[in-house]
Amino acid sequence: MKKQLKKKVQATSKQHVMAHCRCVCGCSLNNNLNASYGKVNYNYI
Amino acid sequence: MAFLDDGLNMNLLTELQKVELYTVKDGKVAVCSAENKGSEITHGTICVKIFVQSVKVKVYIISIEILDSKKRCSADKLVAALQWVCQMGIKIINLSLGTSFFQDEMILRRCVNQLAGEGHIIVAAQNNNSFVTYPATFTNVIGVSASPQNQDILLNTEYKFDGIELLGKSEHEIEIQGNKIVTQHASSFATPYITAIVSNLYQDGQNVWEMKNKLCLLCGIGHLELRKFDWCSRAVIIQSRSFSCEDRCFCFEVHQKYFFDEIEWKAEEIKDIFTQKTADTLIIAGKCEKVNDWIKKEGISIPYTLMIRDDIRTISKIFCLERTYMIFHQDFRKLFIDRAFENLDIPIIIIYYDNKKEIVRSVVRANHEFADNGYHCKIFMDSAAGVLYGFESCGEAFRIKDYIEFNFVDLIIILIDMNNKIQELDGDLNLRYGVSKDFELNLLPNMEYRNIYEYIEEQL
Repeated sequence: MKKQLKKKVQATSKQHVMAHCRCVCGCSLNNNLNASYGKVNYNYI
Repeated sequence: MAFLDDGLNMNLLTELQKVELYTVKDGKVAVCSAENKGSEITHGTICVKIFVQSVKVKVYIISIEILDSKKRCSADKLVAALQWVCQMGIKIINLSLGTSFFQDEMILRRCVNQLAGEGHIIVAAQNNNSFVTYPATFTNVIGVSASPQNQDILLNTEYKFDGIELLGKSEHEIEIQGNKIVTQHASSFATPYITAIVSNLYQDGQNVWEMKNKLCLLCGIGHLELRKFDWCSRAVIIQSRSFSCEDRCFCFEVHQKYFFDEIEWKAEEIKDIFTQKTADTLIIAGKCEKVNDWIKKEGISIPYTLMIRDDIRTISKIFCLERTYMIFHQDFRKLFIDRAFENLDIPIIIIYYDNKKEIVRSVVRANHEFADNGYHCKIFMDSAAGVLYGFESCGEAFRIKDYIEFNFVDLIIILIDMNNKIQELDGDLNLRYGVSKDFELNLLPNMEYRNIYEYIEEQL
C-alpha cells in the first residue's frame, strides 16, 4: 500500500519551548501541592 | 550561574543572600520589576531549591524569566536570554526546559555552539516522553533526564541518538514555608541536581566537553564518544585531492581548506588557527592515517575532529580518538533487514543520483521547502560527506523506527549513487536523478529537471 505524506496543520503559535515538569495544566503546581501528575500534554503543531 | 525559567518567588527563597532577577522583554533582557508573587511556587523556584541544597560551592544565582504562566516561550526568547548570559560571562546555565519542534533546531544549535565555543556550560532537560529535545540533544550541551529509580547520577547508554548523557535524581525533598514536599519524577528536577554537581566540579576555563568527561569519570566511565556531527560552527578542512563535495551547502562555516600534500609546509598556519580558537573543528576528508600521525607529531590541540571516508569501515578502534567522530560510506542495506521500512507509517523516498554536487544542491533546497510547509524531512546519503550538509548518518546501533518516532519525522529521503546501486532497496517512491547505465533505473521517474519538493508532495 502506498504511504501518504500526512497533511500538516500549520503552527499557530511559536511557543514550543516548555518546562519539563509533568504538570498537566501548566499551573497546578501553584495551588495544589498534592496534584496528581499525568503525561505531558505534548502538542507541537 | 544562570537559571532560565519562569522566574523566582523570593518569598520562598529567603535562604538565598544574593540573587539577581531578570526577564526578557521585546527580545532584550531587562531587570525584573519587584513583583510580589505571594506564595506561588514557580517552576524556577523549585529548580533553585533543588540546586541550592545540592551545591557545595559558593555560587551567585541569576534568574532570567523567559517562560510565561503556562510555562512556555518561543525559541527566539530562549536565544535572546542565552546570548545575554554569554555577554555577561555567566559560565554555568540551567535549562529545565526545551523544545521538540524541528524548526527550532537550527537557531538553538547555532546559539549553543557559540556559547560552548566561549566556554559556557549548558545543562538542559530532555522532554519527559523521551522525544529528541533541543537543546538537550546537542553535543555541546549536557543533556539530562530523570533516573528511573531516583538514583543520584547515571550514564545513559540506551538511545544513541537522543543525545542525553546523564540520568539524574529528580525526586527531592524540599522545604517550602515549613512544609516538606517531594518533587515529581521529571527531567526538570533532575537537571538542577546535575547542574549542582557541575558547579561543584567546575574549574575556571573548563569547557563543556571537559566537564562531560569529568561527569563520566564520576560514573566510572573513561570518556564519552561523539555520537553525531552537530557541534561545528567553523571548520578547517584537510582533504585529499580526489575528495569532492558541494561547498555551498555546508551546514557550517569553512575557515580554511588544505590538501593533504600541503600540510607539511602549512603546519604553523594550521597550528595558529587552533591556538587562536578561530575554528572549532578539523575535518579530515579522505584516507586519514597520515594526517592523524602528523597532528600527533606536531602536537596540535584541536577541540573536535571529524573524519570522513568513502570506503567501508576498516579503521580499528585504536584510531577512535577522543573528541573524534568518524563517518564511513553508509550502507543502507541494514536498514532494510526484516523489511523494517514496510512497518513504518511515513513514506521513504529513494533517489538514485549520478552527480553528487547537483543532487546535494537540489535536495538541500527541497528540504527547506519541506520545512517551510511544516514537514520534517530527514535525508540520508550513502556518501560520508552527507553529514557536511546536515544529512543524517546511521551508526552501528541505529534503529530506524525509534529514530522516526522520537524525532517526529514526516518523511525520509535516501540518496544512493546509481553506480553503487544496491538491488534490495525499494522505497515507497523510487526516483532517479540523471541517467544510468542500468536499464531498470532508467525506467524510474527522472527528477533532474523538476522541483523535487513539488513532485514528491504531488506523488504522495
